[in-house]
Amino acid sequence: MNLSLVLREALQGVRRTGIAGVISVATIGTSLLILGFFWQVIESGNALAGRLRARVEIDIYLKDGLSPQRVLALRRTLEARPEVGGIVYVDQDAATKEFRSLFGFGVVDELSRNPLPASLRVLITPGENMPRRARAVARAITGHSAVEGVNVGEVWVDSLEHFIVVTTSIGLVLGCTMCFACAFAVSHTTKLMVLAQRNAIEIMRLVGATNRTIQMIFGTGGAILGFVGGILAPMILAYIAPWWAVRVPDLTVTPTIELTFCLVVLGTLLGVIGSWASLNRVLREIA
Amino acid sequence: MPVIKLQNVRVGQQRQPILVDANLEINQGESIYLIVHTELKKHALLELVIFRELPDSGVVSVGEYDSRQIRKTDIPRLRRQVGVVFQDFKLLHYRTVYENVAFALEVTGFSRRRIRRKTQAILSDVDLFHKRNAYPDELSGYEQLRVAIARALVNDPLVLFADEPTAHLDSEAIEHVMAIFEKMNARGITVVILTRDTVLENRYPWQILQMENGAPEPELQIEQMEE
Repeated sequence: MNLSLVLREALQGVRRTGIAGVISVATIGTSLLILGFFWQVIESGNALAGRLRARVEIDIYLKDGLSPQRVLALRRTLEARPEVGGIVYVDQDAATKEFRSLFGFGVVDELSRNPLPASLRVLITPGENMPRRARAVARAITGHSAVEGVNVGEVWVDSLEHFIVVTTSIGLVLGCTMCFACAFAVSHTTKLMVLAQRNAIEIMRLVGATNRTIQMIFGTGGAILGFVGGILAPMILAYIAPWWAVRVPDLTVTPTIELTFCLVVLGTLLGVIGSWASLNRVLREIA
Repeated sequence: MPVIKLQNVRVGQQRQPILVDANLEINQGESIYLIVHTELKKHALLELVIFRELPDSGVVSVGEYDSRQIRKTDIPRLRRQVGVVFQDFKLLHYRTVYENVAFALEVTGFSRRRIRRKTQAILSDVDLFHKRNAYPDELSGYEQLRVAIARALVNDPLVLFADEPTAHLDSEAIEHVMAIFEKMNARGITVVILTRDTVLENRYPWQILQMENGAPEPELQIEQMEE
């Protein structure tokens, strides 16, 4: 197999498709751009969720006037649980300081006594299902005689996880749709390329070219279209990433090397599949 | 030794028979006028010898291959042994003369050096080397015919079929084209001219095979005629 011939004929075929080839590359580029965008949003979302999960904690507010022994007993009860990674005792003064740092001076300073309760801040051990494990700890301790109340601050983590699940689902559905769109676009463009080269195919067959040679030429043509589309997608993504970063700083869409590689490979693969699908139809017509 | 053999071949199209019990034998090194009266039969015959169509019944043999045993993967190899010059030449208009001829070698896997050598040689044989960089649209019909002949011959086929090659040529051009065919025949290539031109038979007395169709029904036979 003469590779330079295959490449030359494939390039000539692509060039002869004209505007259809440009449309096909644009379709592949757009499809892969959407796919890459969702991929990157999901990746960034997962990374963000991971960072936030590492900070999942529960505030256990203690009743007033507890003796240090009772606080220690409660602490030991909590420490015995596998979900608990650490406990910090926050006394009333520290709670006030935190309140002030969050909300500034105000109501607390006007009151004759400190209304903020002391608390145990429980850190959940890092790993899978941290919100679920935080809720398990909260359930176990709720109703304890030393406990005034429990604040499980993982709701927003739940929301984030829900967002990621939804985004992943949308990304998968759109991704699959886009892959089909890509294959369809390439298939049709290659069909035009094949039809534009119909005479050449007929002559190839008349002079004794094998189907494999013809498939290599047109498969390479489809691969070129897919490759260019695949290169375009991460380039556009890199171009829009700074604009996106200003608006949604926590979910960056800057394409990674892995993503770029995957998009280029996917584009090329779709190009080959699309072109072979249409070529085989034409080859059956030209015996 | 026959290079082309048809034995009791029947070919039909949409239930209409085109060839019925057709028999034909063309031997290695012969130069033949094959008289075929209708385009349909001529087309059917050409399709059979390049195995683009297989007979409904009977056997077609070309070189070492025959229609009963040939595998799909052997068909490209068979086609390299049969050069065909079509009436419409089937040239690629976006390629130069050189590229059109070299294309037949490129797609069959020859090395670049052999392609250059063989293409240049065959273009010299058909007296078109000086026009190697011209495009078909820049050539006369006679020159385009010679490009088609060069492409059909460049792969060193066993047999060359030319469909009405002299149909629109003046006598000087006919003389030149026939000289090319005779030169190739002298090199051992079997040359078959599909024609209805009886003038040609008088000027260049080759063997004549006639595809007869005397009967009103669509049946026909090919039988060898006397020279």
